[in-house]
Amino acid sequence: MNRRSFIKRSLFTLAAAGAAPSLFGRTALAAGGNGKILVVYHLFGGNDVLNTLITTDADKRRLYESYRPDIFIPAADTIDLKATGMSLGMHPSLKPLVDDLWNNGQLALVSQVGYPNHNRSHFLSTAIWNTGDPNRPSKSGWLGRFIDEQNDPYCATNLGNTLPRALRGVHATGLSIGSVARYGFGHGAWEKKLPEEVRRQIARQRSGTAEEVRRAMDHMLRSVKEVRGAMAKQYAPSTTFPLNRYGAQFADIARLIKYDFPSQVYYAAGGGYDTHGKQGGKTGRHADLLSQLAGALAAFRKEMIAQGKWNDVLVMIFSEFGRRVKQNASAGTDHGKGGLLFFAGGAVKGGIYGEEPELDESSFDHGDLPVKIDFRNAYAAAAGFIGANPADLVGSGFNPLPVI
Amino acid sequence: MDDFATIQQSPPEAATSPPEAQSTGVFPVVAPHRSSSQSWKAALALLLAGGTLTSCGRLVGGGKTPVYSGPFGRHEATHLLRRAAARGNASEADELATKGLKGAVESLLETPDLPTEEDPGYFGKEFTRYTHEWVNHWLNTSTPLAERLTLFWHGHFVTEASKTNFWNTYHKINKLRELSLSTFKDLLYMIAADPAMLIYLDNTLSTKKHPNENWARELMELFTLGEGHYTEEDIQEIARAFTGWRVTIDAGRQYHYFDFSARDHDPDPKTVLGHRVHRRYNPIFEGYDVLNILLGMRQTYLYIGEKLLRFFFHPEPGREMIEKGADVLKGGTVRDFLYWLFTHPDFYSDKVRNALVKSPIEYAVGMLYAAGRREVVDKLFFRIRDLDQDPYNPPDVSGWPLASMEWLSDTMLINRLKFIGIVTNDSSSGTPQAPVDYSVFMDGGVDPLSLIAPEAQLL
Repeated sequence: MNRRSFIKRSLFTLAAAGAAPSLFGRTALAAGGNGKILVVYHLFGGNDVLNTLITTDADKRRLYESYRPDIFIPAADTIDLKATGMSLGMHPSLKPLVDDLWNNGQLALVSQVGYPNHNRSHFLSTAIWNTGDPNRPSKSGWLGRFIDEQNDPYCATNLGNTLPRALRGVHATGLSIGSVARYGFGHGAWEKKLPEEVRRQIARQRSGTAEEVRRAMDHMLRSVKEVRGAMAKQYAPSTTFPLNRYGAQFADIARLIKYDFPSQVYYAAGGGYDTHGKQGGKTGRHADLLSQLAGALAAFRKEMIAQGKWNDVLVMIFSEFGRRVKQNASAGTDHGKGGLLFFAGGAVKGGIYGEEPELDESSFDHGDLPVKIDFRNAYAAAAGFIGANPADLVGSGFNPLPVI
Repeated sequence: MDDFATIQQSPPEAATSPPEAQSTGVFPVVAPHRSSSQSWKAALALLLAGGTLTSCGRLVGGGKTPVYSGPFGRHEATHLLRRAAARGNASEADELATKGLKGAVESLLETPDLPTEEDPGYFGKEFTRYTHEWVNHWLNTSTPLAERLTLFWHGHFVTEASKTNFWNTYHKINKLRELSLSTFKDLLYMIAADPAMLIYLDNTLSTKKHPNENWARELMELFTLGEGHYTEEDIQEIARAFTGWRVTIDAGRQYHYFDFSARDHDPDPKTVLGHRVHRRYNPIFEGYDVLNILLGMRQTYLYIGEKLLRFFFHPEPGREMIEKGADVLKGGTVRDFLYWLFTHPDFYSDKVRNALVKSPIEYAVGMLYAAGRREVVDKLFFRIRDLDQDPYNPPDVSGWPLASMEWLSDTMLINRLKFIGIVTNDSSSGTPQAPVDYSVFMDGGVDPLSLIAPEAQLL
């Protein structure tokens, strides 16, 4: 069964009034796309960079430990990355990433990434990362512009209940699926009546806005059918994913990829990184989050290799900002600036992009690691990977980071 | 790496004023929140002295305005009620019909019924209660139009409780309700000095050394003129004019109130949209001078009028309606504007009926009301939030979609259809407290199953 052509026939845009519904819109994979898949993951809350990518230089370590007496990662626990010309290691929770990805040259770490004129609000920072526009976060997301170009609401899918702004275009929006297994109407007495009843009630054509709603309901029925198809046994990943949020999300993405779902972009987010208090060191809250993330990502890599897709997948993990260099009085860290972004994939050129963080106070931007690489350079690389013109998604003047 | 866009080190942060710093201003430095709503009213009255404070009851006269002269029975009254209030039933529609068109419109535009403003302590950390209070008020008020209109203004003058704290945004919503039918000037003056807004758009961090442009930009781009009617220089100059407009936290640390800090104000002259703005002795008035410049521009009323029309009339209102609406709004009140619209012949055309998409709150309130519910049960909050509209946290500063198809993604349509089952089921949302009647919620609505039709999504 050729699902792409099925989608191609059933498509129409969820367009604003006035735009002609495009019943034969292209699908990402069939027409506009290049067969590559981008997975974006947002670590919501502001991941603490200095306890993720940790200095191994003796002089810098003295400063690092003095700034963070309650939460520093001991030298003995830090996994040395042995990066050429740099003294950096990783949090022990990230061991699976070092073993499976870094040591195979499939992990790129972008250091001190962020946006200009930094603002420490989660709200504004997330809006800027979502829209790719630091000046005035606009209504449409950076990947929403990709969806608009593809003219295909299936070409990007969020694994979550609420669609992030990143996937909102002007004319079309991505799909939002809380969980593949639970997507659909449900099994209660009322829910069971819905599919048949909807089909019956939308049989008659309408005009005006009512007709647009009727088409949207038709689209909904088809999307339920399409996603439910992925629930068939043969699409279950052969890899065991960790039983946590990250594991569930990456397993769903792997399942949709295996099913040949027509999305070129998958988006997901997980929170908990806003570690203002008791964030812990080599163990504790932050360590647990990193450990869950690393386990899920390692499982995803394994599954993609099993599916023969690892070279066609690029995973990009970002957080809206980093945290302050010095810990606060609650053994946590407050909002900072420069963040750390991960690229992972079979086609990735592993290594550290950007500079090794300086830890003397004179190099800080008001107590934070300054931002040295504009996030749009990272986005441009991701856009290029899926065959989009980076300038269309993030504006001109941003050279893609050469991570591919 | 030097071929990547490099980022300039941002300028040093504003020196924060020491707590003992004296602030001067026309507003009391110590203002218990109970009377804070009085302080902004007093200030408004002071600043508007000269007779521009519009009386709310004045309606636009003049024989040139076209008025609908067709039949006005249950059918038309149903449309009017659904649009104005987003809730109702057949007996209310019949009652409106007996009043005739003008009587019906006047009764819908009555002065808003204001709920008691509760203390922060009343809500405590139960943030779902803020939403419950609003939904319950909407279900029970004698002036439901004011609620739909307040939702409009809250989606226009956006603040997010996650940044401002809940009570500050709650207080802002209460003030918007009170002024919802007043002049746009009253609304703009109020919002400029609103603590939630000052926090939300960072004006509270704006000082002469480091003016913050966030408020200045949105003031023009989103709140008055719309994009393309000003320059970046205007934004910078407005930011300077509003330096020193900030907030102070109350002694109990539960909410904020407006405060002007003269020492943070930039004392040099500014030029805003070609006008010189300078008040050497009353620096706070520079902000109001800026507002007056914006309020003097016809573009402001074209922009606001179009948004109101897209929310109350049609997704594509047409140039003629926008131009006429701007005239009505510039010369009068929001009530005048809505009176003009609700009595306009085009408002009753077939093309306009059911042309708008209910927002999730309107969908929920309308259905609850139709199902005879007058009080939401606790767990319903989460079901309403599943419909993708948390009324205390709009998605961003540009607010919610305006009654458009943007609301109806696949997932949200599924949740809306599931919601019918939840609301109409006695065991999950309590027994009906009033007659069940779906006819105003939806044309042709007779029972829960009928609400699956596309028309149930429409206003």
